[in-house]
Amino acid sequence: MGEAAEAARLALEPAGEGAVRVRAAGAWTVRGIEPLARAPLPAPPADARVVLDGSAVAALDTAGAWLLWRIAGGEAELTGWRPGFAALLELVRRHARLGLPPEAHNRPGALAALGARVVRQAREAWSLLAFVGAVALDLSRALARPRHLRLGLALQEVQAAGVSALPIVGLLAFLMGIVIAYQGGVQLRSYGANIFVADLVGLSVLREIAPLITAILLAGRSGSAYTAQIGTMRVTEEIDALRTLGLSPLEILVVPKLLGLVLALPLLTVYADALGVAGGMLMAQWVLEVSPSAFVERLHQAVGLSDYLVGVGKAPVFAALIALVGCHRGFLAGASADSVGRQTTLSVVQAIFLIIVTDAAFSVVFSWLGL
Amino acid sequence: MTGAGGETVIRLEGVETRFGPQRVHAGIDLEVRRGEIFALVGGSGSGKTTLLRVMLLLHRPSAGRVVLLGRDAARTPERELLALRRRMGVLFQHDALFSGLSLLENVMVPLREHTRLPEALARELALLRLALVGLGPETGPRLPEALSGGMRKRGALARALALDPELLFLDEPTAGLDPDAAGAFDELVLRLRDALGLTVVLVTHDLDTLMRIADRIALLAEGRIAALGTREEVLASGHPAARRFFHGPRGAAARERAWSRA
Repeated sequence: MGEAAEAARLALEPAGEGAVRVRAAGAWTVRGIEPLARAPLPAPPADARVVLDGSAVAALDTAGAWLLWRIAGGEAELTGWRPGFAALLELVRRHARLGLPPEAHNRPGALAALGARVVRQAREAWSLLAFVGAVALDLSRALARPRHLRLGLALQEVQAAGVSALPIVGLLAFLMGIVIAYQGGVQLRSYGANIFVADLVGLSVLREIAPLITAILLAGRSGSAYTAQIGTMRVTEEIDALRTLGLSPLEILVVPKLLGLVLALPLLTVYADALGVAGGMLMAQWVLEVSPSAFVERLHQAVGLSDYLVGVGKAPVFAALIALVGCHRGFLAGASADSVGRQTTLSVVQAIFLIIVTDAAFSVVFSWLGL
Repeated sequence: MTGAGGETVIRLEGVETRFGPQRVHAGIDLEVRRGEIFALVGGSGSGKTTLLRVMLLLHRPSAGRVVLLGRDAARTPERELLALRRRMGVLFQHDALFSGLSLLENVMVPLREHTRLPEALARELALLRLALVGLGPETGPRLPEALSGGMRKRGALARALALDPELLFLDEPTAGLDPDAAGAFDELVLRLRDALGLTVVLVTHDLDTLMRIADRIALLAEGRIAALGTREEVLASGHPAARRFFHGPRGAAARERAWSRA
């Protein structure tokens, strides 16, 4: 073989008595045949007897041999081949006779694809419901026998999902407070209603911004991690190992995450409330000349306890959504790296989608209740 | 002993490898000749796989020279190393098939990336590779996760053969296969070596494989080559590591099986 840079060459010439001599030369290797293979292949007449002449072939590999059989049509007399090359040709011919089938181009039509999508979505929704049910059962069992609650694992989750998220949640809430105060404040100033910036910041941050921002961040930060962790454990058969050891994967992997997140997210939301209002207050003084003391006094009148509780009360629901969707997607992952990646993406998208839909539902319910 | 006296295709000179303070190889010299099946053996943790990774240019030794197909790896620019890599095929221990691609697409990856062959011909060549390792065309569209361990090993071998390499590296090729499948895999490697003129370097724990297909064996122990030569030479070397490795009950049984088959 070696480094024959020479390309494969080919000549067809009549050899008498209806025979055609296919004279091959050069390097018939996977790289050498590139120029030949990219052009239409010459073909000897269908009824001709083919003589494959390899006296000038410098190198041959299976790719070259395959192309030669393609040209010769699978039957030929060999002349001038080195013994090694002839053996290789023979080996490849054995497989050439298999008659490789053409690729089945089995692309579904648009309607079939839509149908398959609907069925898949419905199945996934159903399996999410079943998953929630199974987790609820395990949770109730664990609550009955606190040894199964694994509070240590749950507290680790509070640390991983809550404490280490403090900087990023705080920064974002603070910036959101600044943005709202600035955008709203410019409008308020033109009516001379500067002081109402406290209403604007207080209500929007406490009721909507802080719980939403925190939940969306945690869906991206912790929900994705849950999916990736559980998905990888499925690939490496750790989930099966847990089952065979008589342990419930839900009890060990899901319940602590659920408890930890349900504990951590409301606390993070309170923290985001404080920093969001602080950001608004800073901007109010800077742009609208509303002093912090005036801002706090107005905040006191404008924002009631119910506004605060509405915001913080949503957080445990969001937390449960993130934990359940993240873990469920992990269990849906198949036995490949590819599917872990896909499920992680889906987990974040689905969790954020559900958070916003749930938030909208909360708004409707609260307005009915007059909160 | 096809390879005896052939030209040298891999040469290691004084190769040393370290992971932090831990020295894995303390000066390894060996030569692999064209056309032979060269086996690296040794106990767990003796640095066989690391030595294979050194030969594959996946791990840079902390001292010593690696000469592959006549090129000194340390002095060859990255672009030419790429060309060198195309002349080597590797079967990793855990097959390492790309899980998002079908078996056929896995075999087609090197053909697509490194040649400019028309798609249809690349597909045919990939199917031919599968046929060479004994997999029918019906396995082509299946995803790796839908194949048995033995089929995945064969599929990974087909991918390693995609560009008709001169050098084939096998890391524990028969690990995790049942004795039947392992035996068939050994025969496959022998047949491909004879038909395609491959040089094969393999790392193995499988004494049956070793007895059946290896032309020469290098036994690694304590970071050095404890014994090197044909089966008989290594068996007769009397090195304590060789005695432990070959003269245990399993080694004796494997030896007997190999003799009775030969």
